[in-house]
Amino acid sequence: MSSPQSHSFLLIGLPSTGKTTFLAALWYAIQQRQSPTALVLKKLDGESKYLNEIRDAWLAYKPVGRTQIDTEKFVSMWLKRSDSDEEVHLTFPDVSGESFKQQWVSRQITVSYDKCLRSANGGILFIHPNSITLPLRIMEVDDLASLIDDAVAEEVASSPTAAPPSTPWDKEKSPTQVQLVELLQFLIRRPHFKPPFRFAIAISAWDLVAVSNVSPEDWIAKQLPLFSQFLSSNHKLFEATFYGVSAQGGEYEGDDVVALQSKNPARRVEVVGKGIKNRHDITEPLLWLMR
Amino acid sequence: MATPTGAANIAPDQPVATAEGTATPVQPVAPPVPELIQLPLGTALTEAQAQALASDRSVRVVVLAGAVKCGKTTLLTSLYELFQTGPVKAIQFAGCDTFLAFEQRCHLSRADSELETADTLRTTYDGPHPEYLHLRVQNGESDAGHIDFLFTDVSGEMFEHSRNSTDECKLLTFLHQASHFVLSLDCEKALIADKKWGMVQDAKSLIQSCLDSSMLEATCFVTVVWAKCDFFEADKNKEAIAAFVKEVEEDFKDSFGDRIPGLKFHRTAARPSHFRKLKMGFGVRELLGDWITIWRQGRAMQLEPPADNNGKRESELFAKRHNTQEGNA
Repeated sequence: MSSPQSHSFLLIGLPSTGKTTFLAALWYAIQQRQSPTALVLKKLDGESKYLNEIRDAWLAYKPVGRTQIDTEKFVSMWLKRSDSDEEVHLTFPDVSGESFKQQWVSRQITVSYDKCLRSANGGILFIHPNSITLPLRIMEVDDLASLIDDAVAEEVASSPTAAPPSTPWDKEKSPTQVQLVELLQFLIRRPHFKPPFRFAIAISAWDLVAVSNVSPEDWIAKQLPLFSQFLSSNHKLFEATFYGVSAQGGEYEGDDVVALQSKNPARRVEVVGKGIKNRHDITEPLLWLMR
Repeated sequence: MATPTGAANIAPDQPVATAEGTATPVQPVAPPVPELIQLPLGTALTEAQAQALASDRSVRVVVLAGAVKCGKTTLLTSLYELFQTGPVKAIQFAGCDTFLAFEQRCHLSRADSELETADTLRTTYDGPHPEYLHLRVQNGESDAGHIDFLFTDVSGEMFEHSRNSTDECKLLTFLHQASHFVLSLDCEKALIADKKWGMVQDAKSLIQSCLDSSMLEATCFVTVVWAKCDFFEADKNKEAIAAFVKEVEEDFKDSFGDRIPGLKFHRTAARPSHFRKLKMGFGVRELLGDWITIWRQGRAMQLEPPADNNGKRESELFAKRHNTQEGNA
């Protein structure tokens, strides 16, 4: 039998963007048989405690917890394709969102993360609709106010009150799309970067935006236009495809959790995007990365 | 007893372990500090950094010139903000080496600043000059090449001194690298009777000084921009404004037309707060179109080394000299 293919994929995303939830749902999905997946677990190898813990939280409809900077894990999975005996060894550095935030703020990466970059064949970049910081301009706010009531807007504009001092600039509050582009630019600038680098762009909690009836790619173009332009104009450096991923399946509060509890856990997951064959198969983005 | 390095961080009541048989305190074991790799800073580029960026690619330098508070930095930040909302016409954003510099300059126009009225961070006169901000764009189809722009961010005082002296103007060596020289006329001042002609004359003097000191190359395109044109749009006396604009533009053409063949005029309202029917970045798209399509230089930027100045950068000495003479404006 041929030796297994080996892939190392980055999981990139700012804090609270769904990286660990994705891993938890993936770890469950590849071990169950009620809902077919293109990749299944071949064998356990070494430490699985962390993956089992986050999977159990996911199965109990509890938040999987955010990966802390000092508890970052290197996750390894031995899989095989369900339609053949071809083996696949996947590794993911489960790096905290705070680490990515710190790249933007402190302009540093750890040597260990750089080693991951060196060996990575591709990556999944996570974006959560509820954790996007927009570049909101004062003029836009004023325009919105004037839509509500012209008279009020006029009054505010002509108000003789002394202007309050400005709040100091905080680079942590920079727009999400700017920070994401910079994360990719950091990748490009590493001497070992080899284009084209394949990225699955995963919009987490897709159930929150699915009602808008747009494709994941169009959603990115509308919500994060600078990031979308960057990917388009740098397609020779980054080969990207877009997915909407609902790894959690819905909210863990209110009526949503009751609906979730009535589903087979494997069918909580929903994945949309170009070329998706099975919308409950969370391994599809990985298959695309492995092409 | 000598205090070992780091002992000051130990609380007075905290027990300090001592190595057996010695009086030397043993330091608490600190968690391992990960080895770190420094990434690019993302701040405005100095001359040397701009030189490094230009060393392996063709770069177009756009000099934004004009008096204090005429809107040079606002024009630049509005271009950046336009890309934040989508492609600018068919031009796509392709990268930026100075994100932090842009973000910092945009802060006072963002809701995060909690200001009621949008403003722009003032480019200080005592800072390092020139500073460059970088944008990479792609024009049109997906296979089109990238174009790297370096925009100068220079305080208005620098240009005010340069218009008064060709010797001072010659110190602005970055002018030699300009593919576009954009001179802003402040429309707000143009509506003030006792300021408008002085403003025009000051702008003309700056061009005259740049030309007479041979700082503008033949390859450089000059555009005179009526900046903050929302003031014109909001004013009721349209006929008088049109007559004034016509007169000024003809004066510029008469004065410099033979020395600046491609002299153009343009209107912008980068942040049109006085006439809200104009949208953010009014006229800036067209300027960017010019910077992309009108282009004679194909060579990489070659910044000139500063003159002998005892190891200090010429631009810093320039600012220092005037600060000493006149105080920091």
